[in-house]
Amino acid sequence: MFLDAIKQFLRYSQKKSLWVFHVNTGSCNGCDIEILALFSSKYDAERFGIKLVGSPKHADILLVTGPVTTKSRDPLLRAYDMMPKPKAVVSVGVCSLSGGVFAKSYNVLGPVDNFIPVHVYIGGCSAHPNMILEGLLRAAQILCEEEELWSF
Amino acid sequence: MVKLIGWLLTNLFKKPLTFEFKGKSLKAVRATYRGYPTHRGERCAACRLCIYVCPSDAIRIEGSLFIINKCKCTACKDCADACPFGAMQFIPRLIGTAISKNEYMEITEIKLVKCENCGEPMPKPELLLGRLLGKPPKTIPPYLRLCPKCRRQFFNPT
Amino acid sequence: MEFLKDLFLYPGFLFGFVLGGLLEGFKRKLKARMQLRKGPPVTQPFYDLSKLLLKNITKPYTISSFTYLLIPFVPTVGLLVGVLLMPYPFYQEKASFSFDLILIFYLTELPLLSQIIFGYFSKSPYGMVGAARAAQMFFYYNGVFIMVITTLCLLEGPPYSFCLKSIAEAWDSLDVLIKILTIPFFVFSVLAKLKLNPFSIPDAEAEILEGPLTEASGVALALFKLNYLLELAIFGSLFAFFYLPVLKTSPQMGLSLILLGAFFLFFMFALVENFTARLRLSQFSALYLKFLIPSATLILVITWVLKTW
Ligand code: SF4
Ligand code: SF4
Ligand code: SF4
Repeated sequence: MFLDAIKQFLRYSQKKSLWVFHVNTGSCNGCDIEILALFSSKYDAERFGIKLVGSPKHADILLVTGPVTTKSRDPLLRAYDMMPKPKAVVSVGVCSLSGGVFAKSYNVLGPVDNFIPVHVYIGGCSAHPNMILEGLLRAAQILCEEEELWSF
Repeated sequence: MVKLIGWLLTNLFKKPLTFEFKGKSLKAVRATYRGYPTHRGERCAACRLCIYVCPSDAIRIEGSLFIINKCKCTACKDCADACPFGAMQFIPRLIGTAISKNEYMEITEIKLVKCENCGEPMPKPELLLGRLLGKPPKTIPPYLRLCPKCRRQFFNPT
Repeated sequence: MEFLKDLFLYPGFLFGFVLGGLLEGFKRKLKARMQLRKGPPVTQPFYDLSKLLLKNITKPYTISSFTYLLIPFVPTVGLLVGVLLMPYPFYQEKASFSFDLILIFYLTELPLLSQIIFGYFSKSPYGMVGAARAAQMFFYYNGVFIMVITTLCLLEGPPYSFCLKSIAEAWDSLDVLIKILTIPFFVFSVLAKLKLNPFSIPDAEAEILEGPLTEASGVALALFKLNYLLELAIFGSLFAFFYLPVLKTSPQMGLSLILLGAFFLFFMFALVENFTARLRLSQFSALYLKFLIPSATLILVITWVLKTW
């Protein structure tokens, strides 16, 4: 009973504190700049406890921009494997959803969800910071509530 | 540097610039925001010009269904520029987030009329006439209510 | 029973943890407000910590699980002892040992040491780079910090026992003047010790993948963060003990003075973090070697001369 309450609180704090690891798998940098804009004064994502961290081992959320290319597939998979559970993946930008303007180039293998499970999709080229914020909060909801993410 | 410290200290007493964020209220954007294409079925003549110009293959027509795949659309506005009937419209709104890709499929039905002779679906004649004349037509000649095949028969009844 | 209360409640774990968390949250909030942002809630560090407790651990295969958790756990214990060694009001009357500043100094070096060891152990190139940088910085700022402590220790009179209590009670007009002179040196060395912005060289915020902590995850990372919070609490209250008349007044007043001093120190840190950019390691060592260490030594010599004649 008491343990359950503690566990509930810990899960709730997962919702309040999201550490994001950002991977660029070959995007044009447009979406990366929008992600930086997310931490500026206007869109201040830090007020929801969202923080960019440098190491995938600290992260709760993998933020992927860009289509998966031949070179970036292995780093992406390694970063995903290194993240401790529970983890969620947010794919940002049209490129990472379908290949966008880069689809069918010689080095593009495909969208991100062909390789790792994606929980929230954010469209747009480039994605609007508001939408990235909304997507991250939605991912926080999923992280907190989805039972199967917590089985390890 | 002293000036900078002064700014930082005065900033403490100012209102923050941050936008409020309550659920979905952030969807409102400025009127100059380009937004995403919306298709209006009653104006479309299914001429497929938009499919031809779209750089990222985002548009598909299946039967009478007009599908914009927003997973691919880059909001370049080429389709709206190319559309002869103004059926593609850009309204300033944000695209939203999705949990499955199906939420990003925007499906509208093209309102085609039936040929009066054989029942084959065909675009509305007043659209084509309006495009030709530059203004909405007053009367529509009866042969324009037929599909191209029947029209040929109408003029050369062999 | 009394001892357990000391260890876990008032000057011990809970007090240090809550004070450190609030200081960190306060600093982040102030930093955000100075940039015209809204900033995270003040309780954000607690959310961060409690989130980490439930997370899985992904550890490199070169470390055994036991070592992986032991390395961050040892400094936690050390820092708890460090908190107990401070003459907090309501506690100092009944404590039976002397409040040894040297011991506190060593104990606050433990987290850094554990990070360096962890960085080298993890065999990650980023961890090693971070650890090497931290180890290099160690000498410079500790030089200044030792000068500051020694200067303050000279104020307390002949036996020179490095007792924090007698330093906090030295409050003549000359003492006050010298204390004020040492404030900038204290602030600079603590900034470097806590790896805050102009000196955030070892982890470079997020640029070299969090420096020595690259491979830490789950509970180990939570312990490292907890160590950091305890360190914040220790340095915040050390500032108050050094530069505010904490032990000269009533215990209630003293406690509020400690909180005031700690929050003021972190207000200054937020300001400094906002108007400076990160230095390179060579600039850092030049700043310390050419400017801070000589002038700290000068102050030490002046104090010694003034005090002995
Ligand atoms: S979605 Fe557009 S802006 Fe974003 S990375 Fe791809 S091409 Fe660039
Ligand atoms: S806006 Fe551009 S990408 Fe989107 S549907 Fe129209 S032509 Fe295609
Ligand atoms: S939207 Fe416009 S261009 Fe596209 S098929 Fe319809 S009428 Fe033609």
